[in-house]
Amino acid sequence: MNKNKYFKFLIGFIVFSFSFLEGSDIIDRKFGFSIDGDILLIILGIGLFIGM
Amino acid sequence: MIGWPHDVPESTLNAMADASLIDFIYFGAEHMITGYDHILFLIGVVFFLSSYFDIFKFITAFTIAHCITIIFATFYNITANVYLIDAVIAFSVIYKGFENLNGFKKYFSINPPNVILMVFIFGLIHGFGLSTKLQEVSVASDIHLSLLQIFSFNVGVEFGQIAVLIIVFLLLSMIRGKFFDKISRFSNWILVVAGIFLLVYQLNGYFTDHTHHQNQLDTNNHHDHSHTH
Repeated sequence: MNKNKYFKFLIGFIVFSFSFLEGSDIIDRKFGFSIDGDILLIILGIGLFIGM
Repeated sequence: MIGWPHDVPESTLNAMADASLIDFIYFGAEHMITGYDHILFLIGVVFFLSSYFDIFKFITAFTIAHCITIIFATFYNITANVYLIDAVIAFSVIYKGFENLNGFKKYFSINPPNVILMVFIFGLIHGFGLSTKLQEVSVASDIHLSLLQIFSFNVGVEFGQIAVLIIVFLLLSMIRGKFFDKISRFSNWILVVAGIFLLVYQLNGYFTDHTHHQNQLDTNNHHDHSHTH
């Protein structure tokens, strides 16, 4: 992966991660449906692995 | 005793319950001065600025941005997870240090994004963080914020920011000299490391503090309740 693509991926991943975690928190607050933190981390980890 | 960024002392919560507008100004200033993630970001912003016009330009962009989110987000009861918003603020500190170290050119071979635009965007996020904290405190103190109280808090934030900037600018003027290159590299690495530390700390809070969800539920209930009257 060249540096420019790597940079774009990194920025995208950071934005996605924060949105994903905030989304999970909103679902928890609005619907009382709590997703385990470990599962969230695993999903993000898989996303990072695939992206890399 | 120094607390973590944005820990609000019990005494402040008690005082807020019957606070005057002056108290809100004081609380805003106190929050800015003791919230060292904001200070770290401001240090990063003004680090290489030596002309008064540049400082005015960047600080104005930051100020307009955080005023927008403090006032609108608080008035319309828009909140985010307090740990996540503080994590993004920590990320802004890392970003600024990285940019000051010329990291975009060095590691990605690209020019950094428009500097003033990024200060504006991060200003919006810092304001949102301040607003989220103000709303949490208002719920904890069982008060419904009026627009005047929000404005007063915002004025306090600006006073705090001016106080911080005067000190930071004086310190930066003192270190501008022969070894400024080395000092700037070292200082900006400290910004990056401090930002990473704060980011990890806030994310750890997000994943481990389960009482926070209950507090946020209380925040929502409080707002729902206040709208029904």
